[in-house]
Formats: sequence, C-alpha cells, structure tokens
Amino acid sequence: VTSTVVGESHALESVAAPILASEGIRLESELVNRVCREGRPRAAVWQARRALIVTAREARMPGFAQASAALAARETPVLVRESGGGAVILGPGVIVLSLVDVLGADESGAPAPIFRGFESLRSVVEQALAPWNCRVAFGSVRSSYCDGRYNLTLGGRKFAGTAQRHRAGANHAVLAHAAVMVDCDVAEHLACIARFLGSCGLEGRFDPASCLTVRDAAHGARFDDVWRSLESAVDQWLTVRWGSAAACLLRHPQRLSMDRPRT
Amino acid sequence: LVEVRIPDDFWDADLQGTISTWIYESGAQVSQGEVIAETLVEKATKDLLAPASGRLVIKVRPEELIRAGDLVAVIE
Repeated sequence: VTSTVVGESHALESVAAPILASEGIRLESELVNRVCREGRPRAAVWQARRALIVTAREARMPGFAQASAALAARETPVLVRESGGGAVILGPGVIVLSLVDVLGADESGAPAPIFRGFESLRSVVEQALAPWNCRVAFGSVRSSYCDGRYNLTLGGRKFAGTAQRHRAGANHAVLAHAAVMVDCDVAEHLACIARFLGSCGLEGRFDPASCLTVRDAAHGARFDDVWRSLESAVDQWLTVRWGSAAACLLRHPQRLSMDRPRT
Repeated sequence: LVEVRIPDDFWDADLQGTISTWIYESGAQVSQGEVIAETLVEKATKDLLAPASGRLVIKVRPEELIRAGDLVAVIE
C-alpha cells in the first residue's frame, strides 16, 4: 500500500474497505465543496456497506418513513442523496466512482455540460475494463432500476447507474457518480429496490435480465483487479484534468483491504 | 418585480426538466444569490438561485415539465 502526496493536497480518495454509505455520501459532499472553493477537480473511488440510496423525490413519498424503517430493520439503511435518478443499492461488490469536475466560466454557456460529466464516467470505466475487452456504451435499459439515457451498459444490459449533482459557488462544481456493479447479486438488488418502491407507493417492476455485473461480462475478472483498474483509470482522468503529470493518489492504509469485503 | 427563469445555459434547449424541490414556499422572503429551488434534468440536479431579494411567488409546481428559459417564479 502506498500513499503518494503531491502538491497542496490529495486529489483522489481511494477507499477499498467498505465504509458506511453515509460516510461515502459525506465524502462526495466534501469533494464538491472543495471543488467549489478551490476550482480543481477531485475524485473518489469507494465501496460502501450495504445501503439503499434514494433521491429526494422518493424520500417525499408518503410511505417513505415506514418503508425505510422496515428495510433498516433488515440491515439495509436507507439514505438520501442529492443527485437525480432513482433508488440504487450500494454494498460489497459495488464500486462507486465520484468524479468532481469544475465547469469553467468560459464553459458555462457551452452546450452539453451534463453530457460531458456522463461521458467522463463512461470513458473512465471503458478504459478500466479494456483489459477484459469490454465496450461500454450509454443507453436506457427497459425494466432496469434507476433508468436513464446515460446508464452504462455492456451488450445492451445495464451494469452501472449514473447521476449528477451541480453546485454553484466560487466555482461551478459538477459531481458525476456511478455505482458499478462488479460482483453482486443483481436479482436480489432489484427485488429489494422493487419492494421498497412498492412500499412507498411507486412503481418498481424490474427484470433481472436487464442488468449484469462486470464479472458476468468480463469472464474471470477478479474484483480486486477491477478495483485497481478503475482506480488507475480515475487517477489518469485526474491527471489529465489537473493538466499535470503529477496525479495525486491517496489510499487510506488504515482502512484499505483488498480482501473481498464481508457484509 | 423580478422574473425567475431557468437560465438558458442550465441545460440543452431540447431537454425538458423539472423543479424537483422548492426550498421555500410561495410568499417566503428570499435573498439574492440564495438557493431557492433544485432542478432536475437527465438525472442531474442543479441549484436555482434567487436573482433578487424579496417575496417569492412560485409559478410552477414540482415535477411539472419545463424548458430552459421558462418562467418558474417571480420575486416581488
């Protein structure tokens, strides 16, 4: 395990051992605040303990409190995020990429800043999965969870949900994040989300065949290898965005474990 | 009276979004530069800031489809 510090501070937070999902959400929020303040891109690669992450819209539904309590009793806490989309399960085997870019003043009127954030995610993930010959595409996938035009797909099946949070400040920060299902029980995830949404009075009918994991697509891919490859690709994205050869990578030795996490 | 519109550069002209959350209720006093609403388009949320100080009068309900440039509130 190495810890490399370059310049005034770290740019990439890499947390392999599962943290509380609330800690991950707080980490993202801190990165967004820093980018607003400092005007330089930041990123994180992290994995959470099991939790259901919902949007503010879902949290306003009448049955939300009761459904959340019921799920929390089954060791799946429910947390609200600030980006759009729909409910997703985080947990062991799901790697979250959080890219926080800065929208320059000269770009504020440019078209498609939203597309650029999603494209950063797609290109980073495609680069990371290149060793397994995976071609990552965008696409809406019928009967998948948290559906949208910018799902990351492999062979037409969804393996990562994406969303964004823009925040104005001294600088305009854009958080683009993806929950990449690397090695998890997709059918169980979808069933859990469907039950929860149903309890909230929302429609939640999903087809497990609409989704897959990286392991399904990249036969033989080991979780640890995918993790390192994603970490490296994010590191390279940061290097380019910082416009410097000095990528700043911080691993958290006290929490780092490349062992497969336990729930 | 100051109009509150979705800025033209908020999202592409061909997209429709929504106000996902009004931070204040209609009639509330708001200050210039304060976040008054959260917008949503393509699973991306963005803050809408008050262009002036005064009393907020909301013209668009949450989840109602809107485009960049649309009037969503006025500040009296």
